Amino acid sequence: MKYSMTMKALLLFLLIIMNIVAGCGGKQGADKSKLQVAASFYPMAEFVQAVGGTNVQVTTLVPDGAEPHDWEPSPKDLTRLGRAQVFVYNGLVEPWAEQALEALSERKIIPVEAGRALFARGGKQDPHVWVSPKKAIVEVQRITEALCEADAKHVDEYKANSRTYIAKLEQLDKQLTEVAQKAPKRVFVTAHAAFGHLAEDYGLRQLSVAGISAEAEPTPGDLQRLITTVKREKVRYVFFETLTDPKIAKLVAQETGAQTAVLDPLEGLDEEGRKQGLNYLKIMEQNIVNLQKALNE
Amino acid sequence: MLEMLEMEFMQRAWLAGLIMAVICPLIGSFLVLRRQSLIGDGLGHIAFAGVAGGALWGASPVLSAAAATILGALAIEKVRTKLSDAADMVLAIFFYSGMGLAVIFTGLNKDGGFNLGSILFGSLMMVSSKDLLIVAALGLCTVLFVVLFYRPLQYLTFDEKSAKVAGLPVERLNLLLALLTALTVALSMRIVGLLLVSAMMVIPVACALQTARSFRGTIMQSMLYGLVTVFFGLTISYYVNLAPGGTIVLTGTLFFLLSCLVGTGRKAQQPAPGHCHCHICEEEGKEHAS
Repeated sequence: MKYSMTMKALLLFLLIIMNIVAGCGGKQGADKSKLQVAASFYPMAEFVQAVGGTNVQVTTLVPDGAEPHDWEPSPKDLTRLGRAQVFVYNGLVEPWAEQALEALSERKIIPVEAGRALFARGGKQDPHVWVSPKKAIVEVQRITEALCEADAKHVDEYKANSRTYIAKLEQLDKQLTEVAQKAPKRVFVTAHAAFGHLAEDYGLRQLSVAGISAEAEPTPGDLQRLITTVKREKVRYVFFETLTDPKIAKLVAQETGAQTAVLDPLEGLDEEGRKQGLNYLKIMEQNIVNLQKALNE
Repeated sequence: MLEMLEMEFMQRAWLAGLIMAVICPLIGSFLVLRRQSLIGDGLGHIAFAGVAGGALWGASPVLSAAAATILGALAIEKVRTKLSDAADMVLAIFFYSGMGLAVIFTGLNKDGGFNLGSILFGSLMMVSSKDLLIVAALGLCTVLFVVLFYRPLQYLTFDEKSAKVAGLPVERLNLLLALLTALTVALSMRIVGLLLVSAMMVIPVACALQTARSFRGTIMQSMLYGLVTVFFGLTISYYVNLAPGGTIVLTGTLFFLLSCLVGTGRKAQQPAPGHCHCHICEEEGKEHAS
């Protein structure tokens, strides 16, 4: 029985490792007194935090700087999601959400698809509703309803926080309406078509290099048409965004003599932005300033 | 509780993984010793065709994979007995045809509907309670099959021709073995994915061949290696956030390297083998035509 030594050694090794692993399980950091809410990506997390205030603990699933369209949850992320009582997601951007909820069906998580029924735009389904303040307000209202339902003890606080935050969104809405009304131009150019809802809600027109999905490479024909339009409409700025490659926006800018500027679709907030104290409201304000420049020059 | 096992979907994945860790090497022991190591790969590709085809008709991936692998295994078995000298070539043809069909079906499928990555590379979150039940039932069947037919299977594995002459129901046994292989491939795809299922049938057996000294020992040890491999693979993949399928397979490879080190050390102490290089024959006292 020579092999039994090897087997004994293996078993011992296994036991040691099991102990080490078991020791790692302790740190969970969940504050049981707070409502646990998981949010799919940054703007959803911000909306939840704004409404929930100190009564909720928010976990953002898509990490800082990741593109939410291509992200997929790992088993560890699903475990984080499984600990939540409420799961807030936009809808359409998170094709994995349904499957994840199914995998966690024993957990009785309340799902909140904040953007549901807002997506239809010109015969297409466009998920980028959160960049339009008008639709962001609807999302915040839905999040408020869900939090009130999940945690009846703090309904008054949630409603008060919600009013405060929606007032700020209405401020953005007013600014944007004004900018759009006064500007001589109606057209702006973006790298990926993330601002369709914003354009539609404020009577503008978005021309974009790529389609609604961030990856699709434009064909040479698409590019040529875009360049012609940019020249004809005398567009002075081509917008690119923070999370995707600005290569094509830069190419279009070069070909047409326009400048490039950032229009942030708020799909995430990176470490640097967080350090600078940026948030949804501040970035949207910056977006409005940049848009104003582009529409006026 | 352990963070890794806190959620039910992970508990299901672990159970399914551990059952798979036992039945893959159990079936694999016979396959490897019959020089059919790559049959799992062939069936894996055929299963891919099944899943892709099933997605077109809206069938469940596990069921369509199982249907395709069963058909594939029966066909391979049929052709193998006809062209026994060119078994590897036959397998290769099935392999490519499966892949070809899969590519066509995937191309025909315009509205997606199935997650290619999770089929090819496994996805722990996809193990449903129903899947787990099926895997457990299959595991039980496989173990029962091997226990009940251990002697004939052993005979068959080392010398198919003599087994036939001795009056064993060779064809029926082969068919059953092929059937169980097919089902094992189809059901293991949730954990390691179709491209890597075969690895779980081969690597633990390869490890056991280095350290075991009998056929029975090879089977027992291969299951143990399988369990250890899946245990470490799943644990590491969870905490380090790596793809589970790949992590499990590479853990297996690591164990193979370790077992080689241990194994060769022991071989040097063995007396020179007689007419047969296979130490299995020595222990079991069987004649082995090599």
